[in-house]
Amino acid sequence: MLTTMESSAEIAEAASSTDPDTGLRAVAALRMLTERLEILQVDNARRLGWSWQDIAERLGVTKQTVHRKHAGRHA
Amino acid sequence: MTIRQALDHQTPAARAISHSAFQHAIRLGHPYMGSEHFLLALASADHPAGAVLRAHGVTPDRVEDQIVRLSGGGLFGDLDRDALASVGIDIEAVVDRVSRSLGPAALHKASRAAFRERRVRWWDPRRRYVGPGAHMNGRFLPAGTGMPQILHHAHLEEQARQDPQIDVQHLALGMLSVTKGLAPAVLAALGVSVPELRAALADRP
Repeated sequence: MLTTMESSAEIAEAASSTDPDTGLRAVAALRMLTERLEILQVDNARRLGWSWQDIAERLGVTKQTVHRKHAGRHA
Repeated sequence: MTIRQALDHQTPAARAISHSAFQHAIRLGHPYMGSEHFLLALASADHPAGAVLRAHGVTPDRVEDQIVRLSGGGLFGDLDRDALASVGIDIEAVVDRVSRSLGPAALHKASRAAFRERRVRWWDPRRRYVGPGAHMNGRFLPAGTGMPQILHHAHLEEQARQDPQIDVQHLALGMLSVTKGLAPAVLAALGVSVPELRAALADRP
């Protein structure tokens, strides 16, 4: 495990680096992380009885979009 | 050396480790094969290298507990941890927090759901790039982070010792050089000293 000092030094280095490889891989990883968190949170909201409309509002997308993406799992 | 070549270039015992890693991934409900599944397979192996791992506290139970915790029931196990760390995200903290607020069962269920979405039907005529991975009994698991790396390092260990084929010992030594996937995080969480483990593994003929 990285110690706090090591990891913060590393982060500073990555943030200042102009290497597209690091930056692009970070973007891809962030996208995957967001997708997984979305599945988790939408499932939780549906379990608690939230409507698709309410969920879509919080996610900042249309009801159709969120329904198309997630309704299949709840069928 | 490609994954295919590396898998063909193994002793039967090493091949059994790969199969066992595959089955561990399926059993845990993980939609990918990562270095952590190899670590679990090696720790449960009926082989001198497995005994060395267990003697150093790398037992199947402890490894599996850490895998389940660190991967968040499989939902976050295949993310590129280093890439996320480079933009300041500690994935371990994210997983711990989410798992505490929603419960491990919800994470495992969401992982299954994410897996189902990605499943490719065998009769679907659309061509798509599936990428490297392992095929067994009609099921395909994409190579998650670390799997190509462990095979590559096992191959290097084999070459360094001038052995004819990749054996279990090479896989175990290769495992310790892996930087991707959950294996390094699991070993760190178990408080294992990698140099000590490497010396003990290299001792065995």
